Amino acid sequence: MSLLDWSVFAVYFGAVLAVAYSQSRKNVGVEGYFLANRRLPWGAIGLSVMATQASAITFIGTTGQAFENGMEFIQVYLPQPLVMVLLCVLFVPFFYRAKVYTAYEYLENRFDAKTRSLTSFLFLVSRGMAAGIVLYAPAVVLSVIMSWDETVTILIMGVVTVLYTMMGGITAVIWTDVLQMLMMFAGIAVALVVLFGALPQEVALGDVVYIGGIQQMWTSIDLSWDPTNTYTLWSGLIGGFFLALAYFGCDQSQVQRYLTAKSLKQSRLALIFNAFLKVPMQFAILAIGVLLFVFYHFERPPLIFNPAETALVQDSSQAQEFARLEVEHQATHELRKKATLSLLEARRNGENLQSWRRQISQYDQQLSALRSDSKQLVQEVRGASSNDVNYVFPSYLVKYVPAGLLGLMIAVIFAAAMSSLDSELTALSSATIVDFYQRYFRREASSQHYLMASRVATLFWGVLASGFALYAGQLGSLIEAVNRVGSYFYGSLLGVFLLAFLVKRANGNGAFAGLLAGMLAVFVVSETTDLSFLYYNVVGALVVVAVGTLWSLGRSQGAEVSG
Amino acid sequence: MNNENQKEADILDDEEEGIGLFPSWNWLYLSVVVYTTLLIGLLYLFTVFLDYSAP
Repeated sequence: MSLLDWSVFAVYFGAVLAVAYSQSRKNVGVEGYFLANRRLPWGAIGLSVMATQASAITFIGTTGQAFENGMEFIQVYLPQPLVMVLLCVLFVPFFYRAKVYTAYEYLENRFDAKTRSLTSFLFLVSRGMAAGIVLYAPAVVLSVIMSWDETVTILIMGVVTVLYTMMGGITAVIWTDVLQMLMMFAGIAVALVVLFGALPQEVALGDVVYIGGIQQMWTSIDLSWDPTNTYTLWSGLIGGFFLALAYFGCDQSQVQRYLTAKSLKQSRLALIFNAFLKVPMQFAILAIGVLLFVFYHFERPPLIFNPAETALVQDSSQAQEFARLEVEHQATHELRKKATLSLLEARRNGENLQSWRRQISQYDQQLSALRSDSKQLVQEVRGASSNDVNYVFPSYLVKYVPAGLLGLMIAVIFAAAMSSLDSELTALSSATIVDFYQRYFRREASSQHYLMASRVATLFWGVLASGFALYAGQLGSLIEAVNRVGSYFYGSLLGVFLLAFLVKRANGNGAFAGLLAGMLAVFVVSETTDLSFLYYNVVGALVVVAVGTLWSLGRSQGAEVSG
Repeated sequence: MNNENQKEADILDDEEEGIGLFPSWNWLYLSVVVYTTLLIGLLYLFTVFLDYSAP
């Protein structure tokens, strides 16, 4: 990176700390630390809700996924506007009226202490480890692409985020999220403009759309009914709906955001703001991936986007075979480039395009096969499968983006990671203090005491997340296990809240039994079927509601009979 | 207790009042549903009309 890039980077960190410091003085007591004394406007909350959901992987992973498979990923996001409406109608009024600090606190008011404690504990376990992954995932990519030390990258992100979160609590978190989200918007716009500007001068917007269309990169809707496929309209609308409802309605890192609003109306407006903006934003991020796909018709892409994997194969006994694939890749790319330029020329002259399209399609398939072969080599050398999807966008940034803008784009990746981490730290801290410390250990203490305890809890979770991130590289399949365990109980957690809101006669024992049955059902379904993971949330939620209702009704009838 | 009643009244007021251009929250929610339907329709048109894969 140039001096200009480092300067942009420094300005970003300076601005984050300045915003956090200026906002931190507005908090009063522990309610200020966790809920900003319930006085924040909807615009700030709305942007914070978006920033919390958009992690660094949203930028570097989603763009890579669109580069490989086009726009199909958008289907998972399509139910989100509808989810926001359901939250406004059903969830937010319950939380708001209950005047709670955490979503799980509401469950004690409605059911009992054990249901609250179990749901809060499940949140702490999964989010505590997920916070580490939020740090680790971008750090490992940046360390490979930028040759930065992974430990230093994790520590910079971790220390700065913990510092401003401890200093200013949720107020600092939400206002820094606003800054970070605005940077992300700017980053998306810059990436699209720079990528389009990097194409040959004779390539117009219509040509970009046309080239992408040859490989069906704009295919956004798949109407096939296949519950094992995550990327169909039905999996998105049904599974994605339950997933988003669980995330926005039951995960403290999101619920805490809209509890900070100064009125119910402001909470709802923040969510409606997301309803209108989320899908277009995700479309723009995916479009970066498709534009990259078109860009690499004119510039030769790396055979493997992860330079560490490339170096590994080049230093192995497979080096000669890899070199042969490289030569073939170079030759096929040149042929495709020539055919693409000829197609555009023919398009301008109104000639028949069919034979050019067929040629380009064949070259695309050959290049794809060469990539598969080289990934196979990586797998043989590494003993583990190659997945370089997270490296597609960063490797483009480093090689092609001009000085200054590179610093901005790297800062955007940092902003995305930090805006998710800070929200998770405040959520973890609030659940620890309110649901456990205050509930079981110190029921009566001064506000100052709880404020200090909250800061210590934030520090504890920050250190744990950073520690997990530092060792994540050695944990291997544990990371996958963390993600998997999360999907086991997310839907079940949603089921408990639906039971609370919708079934008047449901009681604490029913909710607790339902929660255990829901997690068990998801475990069985995941182990015995090929159902897409999106449906786990549907299974979990429905089993909890069904078992919880039957258990509650059965027990109450039993009590009436014996009474 | 008065504060509690006032808060409840505020919440009910909140639910009945108009929101910007919309006469009530229900109209705003309906606009989100229409918006989502239009998005799906637009993406379906993308899928059908921007498919130039070779026959």
